[in-house]
Amino acid sequence: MVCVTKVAKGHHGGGTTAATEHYSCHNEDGDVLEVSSRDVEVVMVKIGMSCDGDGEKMKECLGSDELSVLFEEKEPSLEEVKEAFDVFDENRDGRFEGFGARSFPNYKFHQRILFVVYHSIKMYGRRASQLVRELASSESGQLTAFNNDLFDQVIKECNEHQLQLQSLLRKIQDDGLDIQTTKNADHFGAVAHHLSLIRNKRCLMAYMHNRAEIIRSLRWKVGPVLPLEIQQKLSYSEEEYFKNHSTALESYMLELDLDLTVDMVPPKDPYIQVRVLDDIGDVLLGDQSASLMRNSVHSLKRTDAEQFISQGLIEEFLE
Amino acid sequence: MALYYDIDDIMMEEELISVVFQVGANGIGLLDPGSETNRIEQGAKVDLPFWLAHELYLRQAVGVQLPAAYNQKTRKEIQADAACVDLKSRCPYFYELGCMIAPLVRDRTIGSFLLYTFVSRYKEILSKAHRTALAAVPKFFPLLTREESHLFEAAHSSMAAFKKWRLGGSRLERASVLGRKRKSIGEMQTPTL
Repeated sequence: MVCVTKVAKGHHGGGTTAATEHYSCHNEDGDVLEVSSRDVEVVMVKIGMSCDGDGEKMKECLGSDELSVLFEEKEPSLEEVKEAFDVFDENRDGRFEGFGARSFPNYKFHQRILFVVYHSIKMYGRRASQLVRELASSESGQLTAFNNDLFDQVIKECNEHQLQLQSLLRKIQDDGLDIQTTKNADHFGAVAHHLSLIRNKRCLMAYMHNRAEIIRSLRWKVGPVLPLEIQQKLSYSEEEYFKNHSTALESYMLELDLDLTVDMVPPKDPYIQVRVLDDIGDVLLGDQSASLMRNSVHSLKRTDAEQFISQGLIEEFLE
Repeated sequence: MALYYDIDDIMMEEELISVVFQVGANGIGLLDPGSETNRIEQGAKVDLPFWLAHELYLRQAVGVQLPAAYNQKTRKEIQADAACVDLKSRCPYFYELGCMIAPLVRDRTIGSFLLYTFVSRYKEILSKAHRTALAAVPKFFPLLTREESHLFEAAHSSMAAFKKWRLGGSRLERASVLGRKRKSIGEMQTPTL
């Protein structure tokens, strides 16, 4: 098992007062490998992150800011980094082998950084699939809190793909080749970025679409007013969507003069015995008002009782 | 298009497939952890998610290799006792991915293998779903693929509905979206951050 520890050191000079984060990785043998910005630079260049070759600038933007940002973000969490390392560390002895690892003089360490960076960037639809996985792992019909962070990150990732796609297309044009017919390495790189964009779009759309479906069903199951715990899970636009859907449904039902949200099976008895679970207070039910106090038993019109039952405020009382 | 928003379909396409690049590709070195430059060389072996592997295959950029879940070893295990094989850890979308991958690897035996697997596991799943107690999650549940667990849940819930119908009970229930646990009023008013 590999441990990764984060050591913050005060950093002076270079005009920045930000703390420099040194990432040290050590395995069970206890050898500590520190990561300097030079190493990060090497790896970043290898994986094609934009870098203008200005050593000093690089040191500042990666050594102190970006790498620490990577760790301050919710992800990669320590767990994720460990997981990434475990993938690499096939025989679980704290050492990395294979993958052409020996071609670096300092290969162990490069592989580690590569993996930290690789998993924190998570391009090629990885993040977007996390978003969808969130939906897949939640119970059907249940809503989880809108994941604003991840959503924004996926959109940022799309921008990154877009930039890389454009730069590859420009390169094809600069080489004097026809974009439509060229099938060289640049073309396939561009295809991969293009496909990643489409994939991200699909994941984002599916996330919104499936949530919207649940939100619509809320109006039918819970009623026009959502409890606070559900409201907190909605994003601003989803709240608006719920209100609009609710208004549309209400105006339609008003036109029909029929409540469509009640139970579709005709009841045997129009009245129902109910027990009150929470202090609701005085409510106006049809032409009479009833005082619904906790644990009291009432005989109500079925249609009046239904909304309270679905909100969990009263329950059907069975002898 | 019908499956465009389907969560299971999206997650199925996220399964990793081993491919061999038939061409070089620039600007996507990130996909290959062994790559030392920002490009993937011809002949490089990379694990790609199915959605990417499939599209690149159609463009004749990669050759697809048979995933381990469909190899001879798994087939032997299935033949020995299909119901005991942990398919979920091999591939949670075993059947769906199998159907998608069969034309890509040009293996005509995959179809009959999938059918055999499903048929021999189906009976076991259904009979266990009907027999197990309502609240209990049976021991073999973690072995099931996504499709099989849907099947199990469907059988399970229809059995529960049948029992409820026979015994009688309240038709109207609290909306399931509000969660099973009832919260006291005090808890409801303090927002959970």
